[in-house]
Amino acid sequence: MAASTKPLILSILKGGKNYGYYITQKVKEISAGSLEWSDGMLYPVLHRLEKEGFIDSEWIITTTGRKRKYYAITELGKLELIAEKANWMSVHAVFAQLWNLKTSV
Amino acid sequence: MFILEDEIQHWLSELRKNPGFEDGDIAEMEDHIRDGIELNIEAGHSEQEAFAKATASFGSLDKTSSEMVKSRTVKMKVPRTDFLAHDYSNSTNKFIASTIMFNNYLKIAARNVRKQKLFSFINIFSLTIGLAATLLIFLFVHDEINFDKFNANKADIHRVLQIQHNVDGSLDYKGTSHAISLGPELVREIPGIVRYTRFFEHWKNEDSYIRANNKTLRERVLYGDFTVFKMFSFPVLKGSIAGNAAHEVVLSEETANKYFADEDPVGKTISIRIDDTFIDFTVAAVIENIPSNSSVQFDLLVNFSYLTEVGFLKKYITNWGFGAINTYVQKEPAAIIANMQPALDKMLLTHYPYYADIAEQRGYKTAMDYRQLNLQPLMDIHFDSSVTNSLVPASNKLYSILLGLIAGGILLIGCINFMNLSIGRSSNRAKEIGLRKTMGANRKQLVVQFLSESIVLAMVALFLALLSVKLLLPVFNMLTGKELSLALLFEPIYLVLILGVTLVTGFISGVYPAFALSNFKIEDAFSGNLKLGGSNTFTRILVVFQFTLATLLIIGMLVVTTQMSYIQNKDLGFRGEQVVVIPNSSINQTTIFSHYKQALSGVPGVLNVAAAGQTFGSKHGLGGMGFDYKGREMRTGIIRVSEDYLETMEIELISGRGFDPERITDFSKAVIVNESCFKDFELTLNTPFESLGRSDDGSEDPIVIGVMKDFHYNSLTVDVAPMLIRLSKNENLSYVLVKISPENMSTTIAALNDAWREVAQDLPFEYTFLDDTMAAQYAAQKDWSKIISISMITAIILSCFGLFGLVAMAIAGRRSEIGVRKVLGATVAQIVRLYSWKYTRLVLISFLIAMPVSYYTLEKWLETFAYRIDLDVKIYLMAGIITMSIAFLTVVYKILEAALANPAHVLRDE
Repeated sequence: MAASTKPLILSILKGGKNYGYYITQKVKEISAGSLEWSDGMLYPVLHRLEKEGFIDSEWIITTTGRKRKYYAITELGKLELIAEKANWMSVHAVFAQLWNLKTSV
Repeated sequence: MFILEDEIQHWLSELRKNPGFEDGDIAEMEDHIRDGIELNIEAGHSEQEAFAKATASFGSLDKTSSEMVKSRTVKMKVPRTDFLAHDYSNSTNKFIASTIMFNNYLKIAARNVRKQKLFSFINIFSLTIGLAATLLIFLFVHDEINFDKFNANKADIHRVLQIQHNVDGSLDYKGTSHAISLGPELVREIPGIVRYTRFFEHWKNEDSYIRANNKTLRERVLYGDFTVFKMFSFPVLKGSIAGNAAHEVVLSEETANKYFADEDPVGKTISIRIDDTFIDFTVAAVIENIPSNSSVQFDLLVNFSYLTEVGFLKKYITNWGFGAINTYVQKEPAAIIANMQPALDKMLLTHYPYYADIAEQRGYKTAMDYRQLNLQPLMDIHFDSSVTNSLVPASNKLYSILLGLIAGGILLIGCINFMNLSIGRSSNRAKEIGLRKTMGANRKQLVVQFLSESIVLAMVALFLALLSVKLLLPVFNMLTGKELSLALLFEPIYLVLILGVTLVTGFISGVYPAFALSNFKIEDAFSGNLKLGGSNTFTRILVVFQFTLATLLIIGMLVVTTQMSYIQNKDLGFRGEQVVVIPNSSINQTTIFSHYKQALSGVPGVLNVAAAGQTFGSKHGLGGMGFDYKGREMRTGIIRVSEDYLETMEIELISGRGFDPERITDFSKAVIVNESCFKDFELTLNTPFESLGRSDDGSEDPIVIGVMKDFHYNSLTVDVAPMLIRLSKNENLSYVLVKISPENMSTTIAALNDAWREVAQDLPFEYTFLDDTMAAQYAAQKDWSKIISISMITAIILSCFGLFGLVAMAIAGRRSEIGVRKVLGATVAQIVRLYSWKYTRLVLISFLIAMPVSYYTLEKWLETFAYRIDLDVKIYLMAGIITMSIAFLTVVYKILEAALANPAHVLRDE
C-alpha cells in the first residue's frame, strides 16, 4: 500500500465520518483514477488506522436496514494528519527545488 | 440463470474461507460489495455485469486477507513527538496546536453543558436574566439621568426660581411663576445672560381645542417666546421662526401630520379655542417631535407675544405683582452663575421692595433670607421634585436609585448563581482534570481551560440577554412612557462596559474553580475525596448574600403593593366612580352647563347634574386664597359650585345645612367648610369666617352654614388642607359634573353624548370619570410598583434557581452518604431535617440581615405619602414565611428525591 494512503484517508475523514465504499469512490473521484487501488485493500488500511488510534469506527443501521461501519477521525488522527501534511509539504518542497519546479502550485 | 443473491452469498462464503476476515469484517465487506453492485446497476449495467464489476474492483481476496491479518498486529500509536518536538517552535504550528487544544476545550465544555442539562440551564439562564434586567434598567436610568442632555446649550440654560425660606432657614417653596417682564429684565440688567424664553400654560392646565381642516381635537398648547428654538435643540423641519408675529404657532411634526396629513402646513391656518372662541393662527414652522426626555414639552407652541400683544396678559405686562410665567435664561458659556447672585438680589428688591418689610416683620435677618432669585441649571430640573409646577412633572430620583440598586441586585444574584453553579459543576470534573494532569497538562493550561469555558458561557448568556432586551423593550417602553432604544447599548463606551461586566463575571466564575481544581493532587481526583461547591464557605457566603437581596426585594414588594392597594381602596369621601366630569364652556351669553342640565333632565341613569369651578386631582392642588390669620400667612382652597354639588359628589355633611338657592344670601355669603378648615380656623357654625375677608360680591362677611367631612380632593401623598365651597351665581364654572347610576353606564354615557351634540355641536364630547382622574395621580407610582414588582419576582426566582442548583449539586455528591444513613436506620424525615437545615439556616441568616436594611429604605419611601400603612411585624412575618417556605420547598424537593431513593440502588455502584 502506498505511503500516501494514510493522509489520503485521514484527509477524507476530516470532512466528516464516512464508510469504506464512499472512501474508495472519493479517492477515485479526486485522483481521477490515477491513484486507483483495489477496493478490498482499503479495509486493512482502515483497520490499521483504527488500531493505531487515528480513526474510530461505529456500526450504524442504514435506512435500508443494512449494517454499515462508519469511520471518523480522532484527535490523535488530526494531529497525525498535521504531521503528515508537514512531511508531504517538505517532501514537495525538496522535489520542487531538486527538479527546479516553480513553487507556486 | 444468474441469481444475484446467490452469487453474493457465494462471494461471501469465499471470503469466509480466508483467515483474514472476521465476522465484523465480513459484514463490512458485504456492505461494500452490495454498494458497488447497486451503483453499477444504477449506472445501467445488468445484475450480472454489476456483480462482475464490483467484485473485480474489490480485487484479490487473498491479498486483502493477508493485509488484514497484518493490520491486526498493529498497536496504538503514541502521539508523534517528532512532529511536536520539531514543529512546536514554529509559530504557525504552535497556533495550530493551540487551536486544537482550544477546540478540545470547547468540545469538552459543550459536552459538559449537554451532560448536565438542568444545571447548565440554570447556570446560563440566570445570568441571562440578570443581564437582561440590568440592561433594561440601565437604559431607563440612563434616560432619566440624561434628561434634557440632548440640548446643545444644556450647560448654559437655566430656569429662574424664586426661592422662599422659612425663618428657621428651611426651604418653604420654590416658585416658578414669574412676572412677564422678568425675562427681558434679566437679559438687560445681568451681564452674562444673553437670552430668555418665557413659557405660559393656560390656567386650567389642560389640553386646548384645536381646529384645522375641519378636524377638532385637543392638544397640549404652550405659549412661548420663539427664542426657545435658539435656546433648546428643537430642530426646525419646515418654515421659519424668524417672523415672530403674534398670531404665529409652531407645530410638532406629529401634530402637523395629524391635521395636515401630506400637505405642507407652513402658512396654513389653525384655530385654537381661547376663552370660548376659536382664534385663527398661522403655522410658522414645524419642528421635530420633542424627545420624551425633555423637560419642555408641547404639541403646539403659540408665540408668547400673542399673550402680551393681543391676549389677556396685555394688561399685566408692567405689573410685577402678577406671577404666572415660567422663565428660562441662557448665559454666555464663560459666565459664572454664582457671580450673578448680588445683581439678582438687587434686582429682586428693586421690583419687590416690600420683601424687605415682610422679612423684617417676620424676623428674617435680611430680605435675601426670605426670598431670593435663583438660576437653576437645566440638568437639575428633572429631578427637582420640590418645584411643584414645572412644565413637566419632576421625577423622583429615589426611584432611579432604587431601580439601579435592584438592577445591581439582580445582576449580582445572576452572577452568584453563575459562579456557584460553575464551581459546583466543575467539582464533578475532578476526574477530567486528573486525566489532563496525568497526560501532562500544566497548571496554566488548566486555568486557561476553565477560564475560557466560563467566559464563553457568560458570552452566550450576554447574547441571549441582548436578544430578550430587544423583545421586551416595546413592553417596557409602554410601561415607562419612554422611548428607549437598544442602540444605546451598542455605543462603544457602553458596549465595552457590558462586555466588561460579562467578562468579569465569567472570569470570577472561572477563576475559583480554575485555581482550586488545578491545584489539587491527582490521587484525590480519582479517589473521590474532592468536594467543591454546595458546602464550602465561599459558596455559602454567596448564598447568604443572594438571599439577603431576595428577601429585601420580597419585603419591598409586599410593602409597595400593600401601600398601593391601601391608597386605591381608601375611602376618599366622595363617590368618584359614578361622577362623569365634562369641561364646561360658554356659548354666547350662557354656558353649556345650563343647556346641558336641561337636556339631561329625564334621561334614565342620570341622577344629578352639578357644576364646579375646579375638579379634583390637579397637580397644583386646589385654587383658593391666602389671607392673614393671627399674624401668619394661611390659605384655604375654594371651589365655586352649583347648588347640587354635595348631592352629586355624595360628600357627607357633618353639621349645618347645604346650599339653598331660594335664600338670596346663600349666594353672597354662605360657605360650607371642610373639617380641617373648621378646626384650623376655630370656626363655629352660623358665625362669620372673619379672617377670610369680605366676599367679592357683597359687603358681608362669609358665614359658615355647614361643615363637610374631609374628602381627598388630591393625591394621598398630601394631607387634606382647609378648603370650602361657595355657591356660585354665575353659571360659567369650568366643569360639569354628572352623577350617573352604576347600572347601564355605557347606555347612559351614550345618552350624555347625544345630549352634548344637541347643545354644543362644534365641540367634541370629552369626559372622564372622576375616579380615573384620581387614579391617574398615582399612574407614576403604579408603573413604578409594577416595574419594581417584576424585578423583585425575577430576583426571587433567580435566587431559588441558584439554591435549587446548589442543593442538587451538593446532594448529588452525597447520595451514597444518604444511602448509608438509611441503611443504618435513619428515617426519611430525619434525613430531610438534617440536610434541609443546612440550607434553610443560610436563608434565615439572610432574613436577619435584610430586616433592618429594608426597614430603613421602605420608611423613606412611605414618608412620601401623607396617608400610608405602617411597617408592622405582620409584613415582616409574611415576608419571612414566604422566603423561608420558597427556600425550604426548593431544598426539600431535591433532598426528598435523594432520601426516598432505594439505598440498594445508590450503594450498588460503590
